[in-house]
Amino acid sequence: MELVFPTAIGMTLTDDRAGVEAELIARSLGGDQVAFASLVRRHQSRVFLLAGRFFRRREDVEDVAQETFFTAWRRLATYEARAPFEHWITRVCLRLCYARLAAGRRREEPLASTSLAAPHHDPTAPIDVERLLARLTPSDRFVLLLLDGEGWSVKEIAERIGWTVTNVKVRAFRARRRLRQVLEEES
Amino acid sequence: MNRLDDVRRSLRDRHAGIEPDALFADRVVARLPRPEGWTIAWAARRILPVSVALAMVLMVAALATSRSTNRTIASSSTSAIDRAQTGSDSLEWLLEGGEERR
Repeated sequence: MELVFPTAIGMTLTDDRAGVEAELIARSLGGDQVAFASLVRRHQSRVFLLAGRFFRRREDVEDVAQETFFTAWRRLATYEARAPFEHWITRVCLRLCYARLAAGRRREEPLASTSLAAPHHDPTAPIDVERLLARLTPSDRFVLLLLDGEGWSVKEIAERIGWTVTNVKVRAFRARRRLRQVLEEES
Repeated sequence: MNRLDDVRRSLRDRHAGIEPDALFADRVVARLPRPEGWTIAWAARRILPVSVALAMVLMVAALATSRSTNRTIASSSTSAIDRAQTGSDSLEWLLEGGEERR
């Protein structure tokens, strides 16, 4: 949730922030790399947070984040400012995460903090979520991490990635069905 | 289904927790292609001082060379005059002496 504080001249800090951001984007479009660096600093935490949902290793997260901003620089002219820049950069980041997952370029290492594998005969044992995810397709993992990890609705996912709502619904249905199957096999 | 809820909860908590370091934006900018003319401007900035210094060295060297050449020419012309004068004196002497001897 974003806090909006009214200012003395009737503007809000959100307006001011949007104005500064619009100026940074305009300067970046003119080739100002210093302005673009400021834009990167404004959104880097969000991009790292998002990439950290899908990848565990620092190199992977950093690679995706760098690629996100590199793509943003190259495609900045396509940003139409109808939605906040954050939404646009989120879409760029998500598409890159999905492409990377689908390409399966690197094997994900499970987190050291995750629980150990559940024995097949013990339904009360803690769930090894990394092992479960590893058994899903990249597409299923992607949708589940957005639905359950980020807590987004089907509509939000559709808007932020640029897929149709029906497409997301079908993918979400398949992903949940596959997850249930895997869980049943495990228990 | 409790286990499904557990998985959902685990997915919500599952995060790499990696933060960007202070130099991340600089690394991104370092990867960006340089704007047009940047290379020429960069080369000019790098080469210009060297060119000016080289030009000054050459100018000083040229001045020094021309001065020493002038001096050499001047001294050689002086000695030539001296020699000519000496030569004419000795010629006179020879002519005079010769006449005497004759």
